[in-house]
Amino acid sequence: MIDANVFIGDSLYENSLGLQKLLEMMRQSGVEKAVVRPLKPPDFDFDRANRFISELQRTHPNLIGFGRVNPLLRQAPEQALTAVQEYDLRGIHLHPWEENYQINSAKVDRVVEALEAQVPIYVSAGYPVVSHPLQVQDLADRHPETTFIATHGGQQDISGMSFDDALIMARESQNVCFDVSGVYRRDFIELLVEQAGEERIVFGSCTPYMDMAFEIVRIRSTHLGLEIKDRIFQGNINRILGLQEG
Amino acid sequence: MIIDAHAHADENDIWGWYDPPEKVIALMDEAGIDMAVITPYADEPGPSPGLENLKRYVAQFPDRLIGFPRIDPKFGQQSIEIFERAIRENPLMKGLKLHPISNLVKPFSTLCVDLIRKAGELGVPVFIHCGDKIPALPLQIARAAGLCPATTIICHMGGYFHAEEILRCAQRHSNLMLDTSSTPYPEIVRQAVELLGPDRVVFATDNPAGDPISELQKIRMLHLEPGVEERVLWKNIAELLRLEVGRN
Repeated sequence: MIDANVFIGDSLYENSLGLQKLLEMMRQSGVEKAVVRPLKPPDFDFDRANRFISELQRTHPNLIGFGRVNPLLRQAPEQALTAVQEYDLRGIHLHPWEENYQINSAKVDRVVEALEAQVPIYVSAGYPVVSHPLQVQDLADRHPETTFIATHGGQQDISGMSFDDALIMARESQNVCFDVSGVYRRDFIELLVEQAGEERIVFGSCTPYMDMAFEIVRIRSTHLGLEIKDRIFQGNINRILGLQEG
Repeated sequence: MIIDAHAHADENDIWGWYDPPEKVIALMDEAGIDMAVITPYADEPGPSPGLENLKRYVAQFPDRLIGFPRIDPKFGQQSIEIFERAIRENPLMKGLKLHPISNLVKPFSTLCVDLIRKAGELGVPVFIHCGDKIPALPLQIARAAGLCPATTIICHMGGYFHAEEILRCAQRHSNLMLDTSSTPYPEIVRQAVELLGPDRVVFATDNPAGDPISELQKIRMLHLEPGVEERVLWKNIAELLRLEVGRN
């Protein structure tokens, strides 16, 4: 099992997650590998945080590193490229809620264009004003060569009013994949699999914001077939990141 | 014994949502849930026969389903009369559901307050959808709770972004109870039990939208004291609704 969405390190928001704690969490949950990216560093220095992730990846083969940048900063495109080319990180995470920008703004385009579709871009999606599903789609449609992975099934709305918009993105934007962290509606997970296709859904827990063990239960409890669940738990992220299975 | 304090059943042509009671009960059986409070998707009065469907469902499964009519407060006295009649004429109706996202009336507005107070007079609780959007924010519901101290109000744990806020609101208003469905954070359920006490948290699933198996697992994985877990899983809602269950 591979958890595609884990944040690690010191956090401005006092939800820091250390390496040993993460490894223990993974062991308890039966997660063999995790894709890790920085929590928001208290000093706001994403380049330093990305180097920390790179070092973790180098010393722990069961951790796959993603960088994180703040597109509001002029140096963000360069930082993203450095994270991929010099630090060997396998993707870039964008968190418009914590960095306070709209995901479909021109500043984000600069980052995406700099990366030239070399790696996938993971987007914290479904946050009001900044990453509504149609805003994520707006970005993704401008960059059809880039693979995006949207958290939370593309939406976070317990009244269900954003499901339709997320499903529009699932149907229309083939370059968008989804994790389903925090999606409490089983029927929506199943619909998302149906409409995006079983190859575009990955398991990503959004640890430590959400609960790794419970996010596994969420997927296991669906009425999806075992083969589809296996793809969600590992096959799809292996393919997206070009990793060898097993 | 496990009682789900918040589930849905309705067959709604307007929204295309078809969840008949047989489907809800099959999911309850799969998870081992004995009884559930159900509410329709449609507000009453309105173009879809939500209340009539609800009456039919609870009559069909009186040992498994308890009805909370879903009322649109915008119709003032007419809304109150519909609600009062539903409660007085049918012992299987034991509460009121308000969904501010669909009725677009703020919980602390006079229209809502009149209905909520009527529920208090009738001795039944009110379930108000509580999430991340106006007009269903925790502070808006808390204001209603303050205006209607004689009525017990149950609501979700604040959705994705308002979990801490609803806990603070519930600490301030002793007539607010919280249900465990919808929140993605198991730890918030634990905090609610610790901060509010074991008597003010009720297990719920939002079945069939929410998945009963994983919602139940969310509670089990907290490893609450057996007596506390029992209160959350059924005793609190059973006492609130005066259900004749679990009395050996």
